[in-house]
Amino acid sequence: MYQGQIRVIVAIIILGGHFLVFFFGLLLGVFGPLIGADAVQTVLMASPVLAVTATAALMFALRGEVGIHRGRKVTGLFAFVTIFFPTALIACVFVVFYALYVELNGFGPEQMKIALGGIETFFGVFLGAISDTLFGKRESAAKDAPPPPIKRGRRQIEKSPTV
Amino acid sequence: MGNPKFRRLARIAACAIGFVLLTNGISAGAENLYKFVRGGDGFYDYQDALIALDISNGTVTGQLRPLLGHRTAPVNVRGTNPQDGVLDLIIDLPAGPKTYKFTKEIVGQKIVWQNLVDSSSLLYRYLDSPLSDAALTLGEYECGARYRAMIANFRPQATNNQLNAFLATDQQASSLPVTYNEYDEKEQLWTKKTSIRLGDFLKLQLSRANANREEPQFQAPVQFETPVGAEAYLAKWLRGSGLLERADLDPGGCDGMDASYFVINRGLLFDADGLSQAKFEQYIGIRLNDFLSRNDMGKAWQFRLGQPFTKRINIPPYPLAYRTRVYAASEVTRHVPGWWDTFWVTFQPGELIDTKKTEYAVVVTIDRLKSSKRSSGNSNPPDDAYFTRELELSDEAEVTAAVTRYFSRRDGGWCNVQLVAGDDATNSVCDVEAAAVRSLR
Repeated sequence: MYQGQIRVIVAIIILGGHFLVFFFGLLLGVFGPLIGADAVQTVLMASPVLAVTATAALMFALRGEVGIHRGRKVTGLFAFVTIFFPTALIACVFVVFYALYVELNGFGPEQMKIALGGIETFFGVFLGAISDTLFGKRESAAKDAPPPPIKRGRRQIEKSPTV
Repeated sequence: MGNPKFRRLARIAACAIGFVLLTNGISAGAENLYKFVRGGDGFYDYQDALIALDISNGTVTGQLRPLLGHRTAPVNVRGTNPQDGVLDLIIDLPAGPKTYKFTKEIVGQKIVWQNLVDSSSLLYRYLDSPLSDAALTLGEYECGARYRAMIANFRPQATNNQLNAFLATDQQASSLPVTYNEYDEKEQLWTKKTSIRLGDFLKLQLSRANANREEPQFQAPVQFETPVGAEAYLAKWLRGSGLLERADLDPGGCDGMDASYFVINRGLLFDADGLSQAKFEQYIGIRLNDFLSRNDMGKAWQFRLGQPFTKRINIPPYPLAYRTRVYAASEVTRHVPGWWDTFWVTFQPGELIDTKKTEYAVVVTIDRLKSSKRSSGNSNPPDDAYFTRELELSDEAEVTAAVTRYFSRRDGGWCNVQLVAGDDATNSVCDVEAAAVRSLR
């Protein structure tokens, strides 16, 4: 798998996941046991790490308006780590939401808030590093971007220092 | 059976029985015992009294007696029954004879003689049942308590030694747990509920009264709460001490007092030996399940009950208290859609001032009401972790009314719900139908 592919996959996971977490969090306020203020609080608690990463992913997506550089081939470990942690974060949030939706015994709104706080803290470090590696470096965008078309005349001038 | 002579005899006997029943209380030759509400005014130190009247051939004789437990001597009553429905009475009070004029009204199974001068003063008795022990013992107040809340007034001469000697006469009653309101430093109000043994409470109050008394001839009344069903026994016991000017239900104040009870036939709760714990538990268990499983429209709902426990009070008539935790749909409990409710419910049976000898009341108390928004992902009430929303006292009143109303309707009884929740006063009779039935009693 190549760098560009990994970035695209992770960006989709994070952007889609962030949207779904927000959407299903609000749905918990409609169909679940949460009342209005609790639902909004839940969404706000589930969002911070994803939101920061999603912003970086969004910027990456916007920068790739005309194309995303394929880059070099990455190791299997790199691919696994960068895809696994965002996916695991989103999955954990959804497990918490589901537990609340079916009203799992002993797992009320208070426990949910604690669980979300724990998940955010645990995954925060990993997501921060992944986001930084994949989307954070400004120069990476330039590297990722396909090379601009070559203006031959100018190159020739530059290439003739002996003149 | 086909013998015409035999049938004629049976008809005559039936007519005779009917005649006796019809005339009973209208113009009876035997003595009938009435409750004289506000009858003690001018003679007894307390409000109500009993009056035994023998109305025959236009003349009336009888006795004005104190409520049970008081040592005051009875006084003679005389008068006339000049026409049907009119009663002129002279009560030979120690301060001098006092004249009353009453007119009769029959409301359902109740004969009421209404004082023409003072509408709040009346005599009453039931046609089909003698007065209950509670009615014969406890005073009736317009805004006063009907159970639980009691008041006691020490005589100025009462001493600690006399009180100690009296308390030793009934160890069970002395050690009965009661509650009273202690001064709350935080709130700066007398609102701190404190549990104490009755004997200790009386000692504490007497020593406080003697220490703080400004006027030697005045003792401020003390208020306390007893288990439901023990009021009549306690009133009689305390009155018998001679140390108290008054021991009665709390007359209340402007805000009134809570009342939430349903009244059913005694047979549903009693066996040959009296109030049966097994029968009571079974009755409440079955009816509570019925109540929680369906709403008024007949729709079925899931519910859950905690482990119930029953406590028996250790003084006559050994009243019970059945308490359990309930998890149920708000459509059933409050007629509000979309929530699960949880609360503690306590059922305390007892004879009250307005129950007949053939009936028994069950006081319903709801507390710690919380709710949880219903999730479409679960059709059963969730566990305690989800009940985070505490509800108002007015919501507890709604639940109390719903429970009380259901139980009374289910067995052809009647009920009374008047709940006062601080400034948000909720005051409602059980329902219109029950109120009408009650007015006919």
